[in-house]
Amino acid sequence: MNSDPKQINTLLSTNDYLLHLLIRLGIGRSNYIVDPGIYFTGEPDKSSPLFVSSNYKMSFNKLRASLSGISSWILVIDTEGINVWCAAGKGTFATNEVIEKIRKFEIIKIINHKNLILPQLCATGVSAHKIKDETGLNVIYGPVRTHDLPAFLNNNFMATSEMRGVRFNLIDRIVLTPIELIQALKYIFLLIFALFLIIQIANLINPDSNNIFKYHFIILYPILACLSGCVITPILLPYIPFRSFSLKGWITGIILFVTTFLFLPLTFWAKIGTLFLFPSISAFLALNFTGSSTYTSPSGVKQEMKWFIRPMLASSIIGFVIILLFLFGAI
Amino acid sequence: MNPVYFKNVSTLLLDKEKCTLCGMCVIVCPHGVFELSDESAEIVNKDYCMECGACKINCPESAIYVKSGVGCATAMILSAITGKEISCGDDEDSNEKCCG
Repeated sequence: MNSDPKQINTLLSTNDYLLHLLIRLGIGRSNYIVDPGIYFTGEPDKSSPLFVSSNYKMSFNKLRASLSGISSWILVIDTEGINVWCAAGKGTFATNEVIEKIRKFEIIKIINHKNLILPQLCATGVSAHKIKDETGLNVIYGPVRTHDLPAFLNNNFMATSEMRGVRFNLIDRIVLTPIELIQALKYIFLLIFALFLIIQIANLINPDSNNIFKYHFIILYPILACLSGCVITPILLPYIPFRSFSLKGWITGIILFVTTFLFLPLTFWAKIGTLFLFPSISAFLALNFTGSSTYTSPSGVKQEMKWFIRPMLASSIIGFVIILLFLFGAI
Repeated sequence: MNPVYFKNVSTLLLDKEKCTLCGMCVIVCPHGVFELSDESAEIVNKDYCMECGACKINCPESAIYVKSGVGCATAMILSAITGKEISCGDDEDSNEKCCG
């Protein structure tokens, strides 16, 4: 690994923004990394601030883009290409990794002050007093969002409580939806395929079970359940009643599927089966969104699961059986 | 707008006797759970706590306890089904990263 400090630009290119978009769609994530090492912006000297960054390129890009006109050093540690907060929770943006890189890249030779500025969200995995004990360096936690860095630096490393708070507003939620959707669709396509096979078998066994809405039903409904749980529920999250994500996903699902009944004149049993199966899928997918949210706790998710996993499972099974019987022309 | 998840589920505990008013918990908490009074840190918004554990590991006096861990529902469900502890992205053979 080349240890010479590398100069970096503080201006993101169109290519950078394009790659960010692709990353949000789930493309190229495992390669979007920066090599650990020392980088610099502007013309830093020994008194310039030193930031510590994850090696997920999007995090790194956000950091350097906020340093326009600022001379600084950046120590990139190895978080296996994962962003700050997830890496900290997972144990890769960790005290030991930071200490190791401080020693490896001889930070004490680069700066004559003792301050390291770390992103606040790595605090889940980094113990500031342990770093001080081991290296003599002071960990200063910077603001949550990099765009607050210039104000933070101007204010003698003091952050307002606003700068230290994590939010989960509409934009924060929207950017997460493509990857949730794409990951869920992989499983939903399995369901679609299974249902398709069932129709073929049903046609062989009971040719009278022909139903012109079958394919709308089999392809459209799984995808709608996916959209309901992975996109609509996250986007409308605070506006849907109840605190439980499962319940929110279920409510969205019920409303969505009842609305489709206005356009698809399904039989009574087809509707019943639909309302048992597909909103449960939406509920499950919405429950999964807790893992991407910024305010849910493991204790809360455990509580949700305790209450809702069995009802979701039961409802899905009942719905699936009813739909099977419907597809076989039995009801 | 600070969204609240379930109330009264957080495992967060603060031992005020040990607190030396260093203020680290206030700095690292992403949801403003703590404030400093004249005597010690105080939990003022316990229901905002997401159990990330930042306060626990940054308290030099070990005055804070919280049961932190992976909040990823998939990991928990897998854990419940298989009976083992699962953390997200554990599949080392996979090139997929589930978060980031």
